[in-house]
Amino acid sequence: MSRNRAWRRYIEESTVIKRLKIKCSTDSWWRFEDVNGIKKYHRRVIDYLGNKDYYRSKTTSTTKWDSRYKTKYSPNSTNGYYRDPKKFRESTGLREKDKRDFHKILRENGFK
Amino acid sequence: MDLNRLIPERFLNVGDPKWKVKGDFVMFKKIEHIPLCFVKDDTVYVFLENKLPKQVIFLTQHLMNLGLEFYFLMPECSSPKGVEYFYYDNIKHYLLSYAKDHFFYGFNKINFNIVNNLVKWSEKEDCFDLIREAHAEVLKEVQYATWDYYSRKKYFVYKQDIREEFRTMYREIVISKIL
Repeated sequence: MSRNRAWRRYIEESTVIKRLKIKCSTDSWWRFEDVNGIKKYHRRVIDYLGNKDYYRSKTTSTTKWDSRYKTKYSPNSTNGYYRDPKKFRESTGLREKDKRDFHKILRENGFK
Repeated sequence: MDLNRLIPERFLNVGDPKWKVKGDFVMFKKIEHIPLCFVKDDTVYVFLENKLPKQVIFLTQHLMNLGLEFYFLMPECSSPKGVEYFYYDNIKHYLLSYAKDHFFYGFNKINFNIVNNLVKWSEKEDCFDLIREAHAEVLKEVQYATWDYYSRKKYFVYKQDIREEFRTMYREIVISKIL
């Protein structure tokens, strides 16, 4: 099976649904407001669409060892590695934080 | 009216499986099938869905090109439960969705005047008087700011373009009604 863009999208969607399903059952019992401002007591996965939790659950790298350090698809998958190492731990190796820094540099130089 | 006609051509020609006609609704699939629009008395009603801003903008552009009469509704109307204060809530939803970045810049990009559309809808449903009250409530939310004591700066939730647009919006509404 070739791991192309369609496959990566499928994996991403399935992980997003998995994470949001857990969130549905574990979040507080207080009513939930979706992006359209509709208040709900019993939330479903679809109610999170467009919410910040939806975009947050899209990232494949987390703070856990399984996604941050482990090499998943390789013959040398037994050994993990420290991703994106930098001096004095300037970067955590997470795409989210690196992207934030990148946008900050763009803004400072007037490109954005 | 054939509902397949309402699907934008760029998706219909390719045969995109995400756009689908189901029952009386045109739907888009993102995790589940979400209703986008339906037809009633030869007028098209589009749901102003904040979950699918891109698709709503594509659809409005397509309807503009077709030259059909269309208005927006809040997505809660798709449920059979209904809405308690339909007219007031729908006007509020029109304005609040326009205050969001994706619709504000998206509609401006395709040169669509949502204020004019709102006025037309309110005249059709005889609820123009409710706009003033709804606008005042939305304006409060759009102009909301917090004061940061540490940096001694004012921080706004909405962008400056949007705030300025909403400050003079009621004037635009009245002018478009007269015209």
